[in-house]
Amino acid sequence: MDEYLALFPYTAAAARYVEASGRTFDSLMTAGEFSDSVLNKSVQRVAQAIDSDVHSKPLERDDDEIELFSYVMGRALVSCIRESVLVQRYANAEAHDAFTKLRNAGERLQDEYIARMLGDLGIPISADDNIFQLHFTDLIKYTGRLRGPQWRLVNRLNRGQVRLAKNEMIQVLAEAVRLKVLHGLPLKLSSKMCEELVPYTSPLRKAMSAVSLRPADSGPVSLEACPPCMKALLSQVKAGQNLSHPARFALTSFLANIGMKTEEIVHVYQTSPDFDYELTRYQVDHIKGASGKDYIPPGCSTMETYGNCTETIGLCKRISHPLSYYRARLKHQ
Amino acid sequence: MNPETKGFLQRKFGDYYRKAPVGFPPQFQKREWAFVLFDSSYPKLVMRRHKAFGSQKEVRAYLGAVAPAHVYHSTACYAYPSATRMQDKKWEGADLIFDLDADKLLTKSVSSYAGMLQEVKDETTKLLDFLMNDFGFDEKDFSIVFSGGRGYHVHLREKKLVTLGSHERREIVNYLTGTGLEAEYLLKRSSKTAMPQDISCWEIRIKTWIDEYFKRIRGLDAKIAISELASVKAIGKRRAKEIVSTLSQDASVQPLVESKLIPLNAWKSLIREAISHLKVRIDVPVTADIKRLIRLPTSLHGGSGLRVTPLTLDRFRRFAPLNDAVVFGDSSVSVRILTPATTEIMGETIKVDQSTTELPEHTAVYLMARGLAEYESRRLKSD
Repeated sequence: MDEYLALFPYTAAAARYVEASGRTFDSLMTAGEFSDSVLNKSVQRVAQAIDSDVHSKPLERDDDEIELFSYVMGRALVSCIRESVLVQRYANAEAHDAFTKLRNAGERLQDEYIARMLGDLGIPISADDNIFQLHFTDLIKYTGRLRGPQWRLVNRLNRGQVRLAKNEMIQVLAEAVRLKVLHGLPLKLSSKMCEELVPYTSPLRKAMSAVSLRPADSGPVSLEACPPCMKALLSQVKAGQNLSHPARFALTSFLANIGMKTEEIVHVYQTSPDFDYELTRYQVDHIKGASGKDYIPPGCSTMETYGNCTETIGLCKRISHPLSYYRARLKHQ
Repeated sequence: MNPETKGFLQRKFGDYYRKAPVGFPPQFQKREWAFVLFDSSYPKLVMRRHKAFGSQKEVRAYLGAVAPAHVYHSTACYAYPSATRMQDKKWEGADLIFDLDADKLLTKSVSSYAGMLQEVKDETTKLLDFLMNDFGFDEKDFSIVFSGGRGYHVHLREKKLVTLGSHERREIVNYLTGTGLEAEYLLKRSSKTAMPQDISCWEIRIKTWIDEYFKRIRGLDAKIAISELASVKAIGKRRAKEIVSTLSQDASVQPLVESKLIPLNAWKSLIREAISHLKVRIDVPVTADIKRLIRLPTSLHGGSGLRVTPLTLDRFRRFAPLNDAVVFGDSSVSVRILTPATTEIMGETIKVDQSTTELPEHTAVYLMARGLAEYESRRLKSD
């Protein structure tokens, strides 16, 4: 078996191999040395995703086929656990894994892997002497979460193209992996299949609650720990200024997500010149999810676009979401 | 707006829609359509949404029979465009739209409608230059549309663009508005970048602007030049004098750049100045929104009676909205003026006040649509 498939099991080539192998869910659930190793390894894969701060050390390499099929079963486990935060962690972990493998490969292999992955993930590119040139539309799909001025189109675009150095190309590929894994999950599996997987998913569920992989519903609200952008919006409201629609949405959804109650949020807006109790209450309720949909506050890049970002230094430089700022500050209080 | 005026405008709009060839966006069957009618609540905008049409004939028949005040279609294509809940429509992609609107971009007050339209046109010209130069688009990739009101829309439908999400569109918006350009980063980078093809188009724009700035300074009277330079943050009067004397000795800006005459902070403030001049003032949320309604090109704008006019680049350059977007003729119409105003339609400046009773149809429609006049039916007298 081609080692590439084991290293990068989310590629189209790997999917073709799995299909052609004739191995099925049932055959992997049938006891035997191979399926035991696969299941064991897939649990490790998911456990590492749950646990990892992405800095933990990589899992030991198994036989190529075990590597590949443990990815397949790992997806099944994540799908049966059905927690969106796990799906995200799993995608992050696979992306990090791809990044490490690409970066640590020897030069000849590295070039080969990069070329194959670009083709496999459908990223059209013209490469020349370790410079990778992409059309901007192909790049911005993957750079949304990457921080730092070098990833902003504004600093890179030249006649519709962006030229990347090899180390940058690897980062973009890892993002492409993350999105591919993320968008492929959860799989639609029958409840019967998930029942059979319970012996493997239940310890994973336990592990999840141990690291509290759930949205923060923790403790009292601390306005002190709010990021500068939210503090600025709060003081604008206090000063009796009307907020723009995007700003109001950002502030309300932020306050709701750090655990403020509807009444408390409505109270914040009381000093607005256009304050209307019923309307404000309705809006806050809507954003808080009375309508069945929870809104997450906008990330840093959106705040920036609408002119609501006030700071890009210090802690702000290291986070990409106002909520991450808040959580980080809470941790260190 | 009284019922007679609404009736008159509706008749006139109906005449237009029955005769004029209406344009269609690609895949019009997959788009949601929306209308504002000349009904009892008009001019209050009550949007009738979630319509869909299967054939061009249906659309024409609807427009001819209903004669709406405003006609919109979705920038997005949907599997089920007439579903009433957005999440049921099944989004399949959306045109990339830029909206340049006088309300959003005017920095200083411009007295006349015509003057305002000129300023928006200049801003649109800037946008088109960014699209062609920096983004590498070709003229055939975009269509320019006069909005019929206070600005222009630019539609792009290239395959790679329509599937972009809101987040990615914001990256494009940030480019055009220069959001995220930092003087410090640019200075650090330009000292490191070896290959000319790695310089971004924004860097080139800023460099060119600064070159031209100094060229202009050199052309000024020394005294004025010094006081202008001294007003730049961190330059000061003593340095300003030295810079002016350096400039007078050498025709190029290069020696100035290489000398240490201009402190870092001054470069930063010059860069910021350049960005504020060069950036395009588009209406940001419109471009980032992937489920927006936009006026149908070739329809009429109910607030002006002007035609939402699709333009080629060449026509755009020569376009004079108050001539070229006028569809009504000059037969005489009786009016009652509510608010005195000056109009400049079809090259004719007309001052209207309470004593005005008759106007050419195009000007009458324009004033009625803007709520500045009412229609007066000519009554027969028996005494």
